[in-house]
Amino acid sequence: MWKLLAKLDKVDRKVIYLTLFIAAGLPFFVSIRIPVKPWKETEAAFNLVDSCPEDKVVAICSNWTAGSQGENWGQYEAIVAHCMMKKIKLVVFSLDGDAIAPQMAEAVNETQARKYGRQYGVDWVNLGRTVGAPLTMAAIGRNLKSVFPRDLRGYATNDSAKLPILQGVNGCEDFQILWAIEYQPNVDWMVWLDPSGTTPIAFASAGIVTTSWYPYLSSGQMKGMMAGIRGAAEYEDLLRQKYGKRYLDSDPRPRGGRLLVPLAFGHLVIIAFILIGNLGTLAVKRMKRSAQ
Amino acid sequence: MNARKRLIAFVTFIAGLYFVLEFIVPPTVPLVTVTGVALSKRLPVFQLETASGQNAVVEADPSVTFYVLRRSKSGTFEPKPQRSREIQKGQIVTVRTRTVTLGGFGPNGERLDSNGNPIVLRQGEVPYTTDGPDTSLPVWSFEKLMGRVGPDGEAILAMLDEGEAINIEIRDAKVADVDRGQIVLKMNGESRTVPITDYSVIMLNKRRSQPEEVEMHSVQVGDTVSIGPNTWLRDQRDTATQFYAVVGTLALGMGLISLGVVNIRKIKKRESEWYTAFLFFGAIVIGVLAGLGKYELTGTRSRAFSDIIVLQVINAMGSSIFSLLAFYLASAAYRAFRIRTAEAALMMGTALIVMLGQTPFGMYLTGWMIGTFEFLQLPNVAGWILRTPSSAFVRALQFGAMLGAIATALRYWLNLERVAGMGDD
Repeated sequence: MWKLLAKLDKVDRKVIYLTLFIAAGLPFFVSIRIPVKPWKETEAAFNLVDSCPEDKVVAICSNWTAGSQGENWGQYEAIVAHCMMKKIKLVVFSLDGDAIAPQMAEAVNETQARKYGRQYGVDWVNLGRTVGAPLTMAAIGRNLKSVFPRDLRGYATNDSAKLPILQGVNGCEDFQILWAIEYQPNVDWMVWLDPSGTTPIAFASAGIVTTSWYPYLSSGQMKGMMAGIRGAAEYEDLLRQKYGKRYLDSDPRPRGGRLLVPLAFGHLVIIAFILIGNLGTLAVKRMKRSAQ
Repeated sequence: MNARKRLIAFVTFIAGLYFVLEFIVPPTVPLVTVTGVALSKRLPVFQLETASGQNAVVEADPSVTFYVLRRSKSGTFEPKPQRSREIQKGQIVTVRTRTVTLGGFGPNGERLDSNGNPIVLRQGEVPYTTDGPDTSLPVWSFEKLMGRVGPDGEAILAMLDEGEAINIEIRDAKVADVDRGQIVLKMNGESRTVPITDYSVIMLNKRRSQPEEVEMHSVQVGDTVSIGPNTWLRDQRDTATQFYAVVGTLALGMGLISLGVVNIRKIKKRESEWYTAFLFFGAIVIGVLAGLGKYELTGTRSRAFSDIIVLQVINAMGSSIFSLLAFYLASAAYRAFRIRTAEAALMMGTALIVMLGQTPFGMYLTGWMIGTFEFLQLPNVAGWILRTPSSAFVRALQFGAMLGAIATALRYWLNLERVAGMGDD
């Protein structure tokens, strides 16, 4: 018995890879739905966006790209869908990070805008990418248009005919919330964007780095958070609870909920192999002891 | 110390000094700054000479915006909004005195705005379209283009449709004289008139946030304001930020040049796998073409090409490479998480709770615990671990790391740290 279990001490890595491949791959072919229970950080972020008046904008620093799309795409899509559904204005930009980030964001913006009938320049604007954090963060807070004189399409940001959305939007005092969405958002947003600390800031990041954000949540510097794809699925769940058919008609199976299933199965495989490994170690120890 | 090292040390010191000063220097010069409660104000008045020789007087009320022409990235001149205190005597400015939406007509045939007030064009003022084919043209030029020729501003106003919005502006006028106005403050129980000068900054003190610079017209009776000469450095913050961004972009370009040089050398010397250098240059060309296309509108060929490269090719390759991490992670977790000591057992137990608590399976396993024992549900336990003990540890770690970062930054700033490429000392 112990001899058999001792074999679990050294499982071939190919077996681990194959098991994970099947566990994470299967949900893409078999429809499985998993209910989620929103955490309070996600609820706080949702409520903040949901309470946005029409004259304010939601600003998003979208730095997610190909590498982090597994977690960030769903998060970004949920926020954009929420804002566009509620006719909340969106100002999107990228700071540092990958040069293709604005284009990735714009693909989602255009898809959601088609679903909800929104118009570029009126309901959303993509300001493109700039560099120079953290000084640029402070400049965005003071004067957004000085940092982005033109948007991604080349329109001047002070051209109120082409971009009426930016009329009256000067800096952080006009933001209902600033979302920073990327694998690991920059904590400097909380220090530099608004030195008075009155502009609400929320992060949407990969699940693995969320541990670092909890001190900022408890201090109140960060008003909400989306933790990985779980956070996206929770946000979608909150949208579903509040807007039901109106939200689901545009996207019956949103990305967050869809990707949560392979992630959960992947986690189960990892947990299972940790337990298997420990069982193997225990068996080896037992065998050694009995041999002595 | 050689000249290059001296130069780098000097530039580093100046840059660091700027950072320190930005935090330390207040917006107005201390000792000569006065603070009190606003009782009354007289708004700034600008005397202008228009290009056609007319004189105009503009009071800087909330509807007025000043613009100065600045050359844009594309080489064209574009109006850039300015604060009224930045407008100096002798400067050429454009002033948008108001934007009005046209209403009907008054009893004497005069044109009214949407509120029913008559629109009276003052000397030097010209109505401009807000949404015509070219907003740089006055209304009558636009009307000429459209075949609706009119003799003057008032007549054109009469011809436009109800509901149309127009900007009334004085363009390219020279500032002949400026009266910056004054504010009467109540200080220590006494009224004091504070004249505003060319260098005055008005800061509105807020109860729950930092003081904010405001225009004179924003000051309301009862507001607590501080008025004093500006510290020049604060006004240069946006310029410094742009410089910082340019330096960052230059670094990117230098990286590209360096890669180019390395790959050219590879081809010239026929180093091992030299043919891969051609792939590099090919990728650069495709990347540049895709980058140019991203500015085009959806539906155009260049945008479609750009989307294919970015969303179909780079996206797929990037996520494929990143997804490999999951397999390494699973393998590493299997090998590393072995209970050999009590600490390892504690770590593994915590990791399992947090991991299970963050997946929906945590709820499946412990969802039956309700009422008094609901706090023992795995998501609740995982949440508590993350919000309380883990949060405290992270905070402690960050304090330590930041103290170290400050010490290192000081060493760099004072040139006490060895830097790569700065010589052998």
